[in-house]
Amino acid sequence: MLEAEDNAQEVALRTPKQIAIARFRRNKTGVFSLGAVIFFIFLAYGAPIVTRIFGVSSTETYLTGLDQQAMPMGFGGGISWQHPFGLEPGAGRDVFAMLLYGSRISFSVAILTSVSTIGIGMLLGISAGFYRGRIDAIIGRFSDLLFAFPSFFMIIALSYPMVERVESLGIVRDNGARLTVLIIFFVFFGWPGFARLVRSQAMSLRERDFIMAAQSQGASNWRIITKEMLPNLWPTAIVFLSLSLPGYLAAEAVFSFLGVGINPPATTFGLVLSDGIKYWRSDPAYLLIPSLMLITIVLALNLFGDAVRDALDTKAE
Amino acid sequence: MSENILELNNLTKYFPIKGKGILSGTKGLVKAVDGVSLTVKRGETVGLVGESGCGKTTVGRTVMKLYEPTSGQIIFDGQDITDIKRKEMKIVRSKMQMIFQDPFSSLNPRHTVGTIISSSFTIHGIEPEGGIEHAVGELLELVGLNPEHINRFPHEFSGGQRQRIGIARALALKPKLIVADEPVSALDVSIQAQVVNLLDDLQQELGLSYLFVAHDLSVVQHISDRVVVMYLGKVMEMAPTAELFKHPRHPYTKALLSAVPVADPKVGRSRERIILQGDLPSPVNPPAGCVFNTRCWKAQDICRTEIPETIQISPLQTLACHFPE
Repeated sequence: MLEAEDNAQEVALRTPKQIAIARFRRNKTGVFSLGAVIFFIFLAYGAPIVTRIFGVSSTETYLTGLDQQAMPMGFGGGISWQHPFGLEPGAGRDVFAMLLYGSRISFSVAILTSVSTIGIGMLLGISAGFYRGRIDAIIGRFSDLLFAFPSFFMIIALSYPMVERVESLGIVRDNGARLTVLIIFFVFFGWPGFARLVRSQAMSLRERDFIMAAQSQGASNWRIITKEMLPNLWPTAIVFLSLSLPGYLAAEAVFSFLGVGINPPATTFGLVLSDGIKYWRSDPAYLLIPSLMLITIVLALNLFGDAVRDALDTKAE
Repeated sequence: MSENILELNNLTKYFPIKGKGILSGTKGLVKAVDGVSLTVKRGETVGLVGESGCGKTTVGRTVMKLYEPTSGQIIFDGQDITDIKRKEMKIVRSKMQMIFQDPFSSLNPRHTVGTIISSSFTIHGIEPEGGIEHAVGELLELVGLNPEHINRFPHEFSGGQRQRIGIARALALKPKLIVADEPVSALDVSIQAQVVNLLDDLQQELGLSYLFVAHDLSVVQHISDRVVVMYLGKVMEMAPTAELFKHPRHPYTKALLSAVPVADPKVGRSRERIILQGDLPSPVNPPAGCVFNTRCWKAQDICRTEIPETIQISPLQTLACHFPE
């Protein structure tokens, strides 16, 4: 009994952030998935180091591992100590190295898209929720328009002319331009979802007495938004970030699969999978291994996101 | 320097009821405050009482200019602040502060006590003597909290302690007037007494004036020098506390006072209990004539047609009734 009271005292002395971290650490799935996410991110961004350790390269073709039909020899598409995920049919590249470099692009797209989406959504969502009235109406109707838009179809249809336009600006070329276009599209169609979430929270926050207290103290709107409201909206942003990362990672794979994303010789999950479908009868491992890796990453990110959401659940505060 | 710290002349605040959609305009007006005049003298506590929805909170918030008044005049410290500009209002705000009803929503859960209390200093760019931290520590001590708790978060405190934090925040800039919007109604009775006594002590120590909004008459009786009784956005009666509780002149005040529980059961059983019939009419469509006529047992024809004039009985006492006691 006494011990429980002591514990309660201890818990009560922590900051909201510490409470959230403590709650997260109690969630075994969350901790495990966080480990997995860190592992995959390390593999992606440490790809040059990791491939060097394994003694493989993503650009080199290992023709000695292929037979006369250019199919990898041996079990599971040429799985060996040297090529743990086998070889690519046709060109003979190392699948492990391809996937590492591919996941780097996928992660970059997912992170850039999520962060930009949150930035724009936060700005417009707070504006709509705090100022209401006309600003809210304009932002709200515009996001309705975007929601109603057949975005999937539009991205496919408009990507080619858009890529040309971006290239004509002369800042990025080829795959850089294609990824830029993809990210712009994702963000353009993605922000309304987050903006709505923030708007509803901002509306409820602004009716709380502490906002009125700040007003009666003489705080400016800017101060109220940045100092009083934003700290209460960060948990929402963090949860949204961790749940939208796997979504955009998978979305990038889908569009690359359909040929809208990047072009070979660069690789991402989508490209490898669309290539793998061509060989699924003769070399099923080439389809199976990238799929499993994509599924594992998306699953780890999703579980991590769920755990973050549970940990930041403010009801217990 | 005028004698009154706050003067309200015929203050009104109407809230428009908007229809749905862009094209449908204003459908009606909620007459939350309808021609309220009152004064708060320096160092005085004026209690503002009335049942829920009578507009007493709206009066408090309009005084703080958290709502723009529809018409009327607010004079604070000799200065007309009714149509004052934002920048000038900021200076005025440092001289009047507010205490809120709900101590659980009036403190930002993401800020420490230190941040909450020192925000008054940072907003106005004031560097108190001995530094902000020292000043916050002193304020915490003043309201009876441990200055070591400066880095704690609001969720680590009880309701009464939180209310003390809210009071410390209001006191930071040494205001002249504090608008207390039901500061104790969300607290336990034992804590209520502590907070009311704290407010009383602070008034004597710092020479504060209070506009004390409440619906608990025993609290108001304890703390107020003068009481204003509101009903449906209008002032029914205003009188010094002792006078009002001894000789209520307005029927509504009488009914209100008869609802106060008496600790002695003998007195409680023997006294006359006035139970009002019907509900509070809607402030969108207040009754013609005297707003209280629908529930008043003394109502005559004149009450239903003519609005009773506010009679000034003495400088501190007003009454709006055709048939006062």
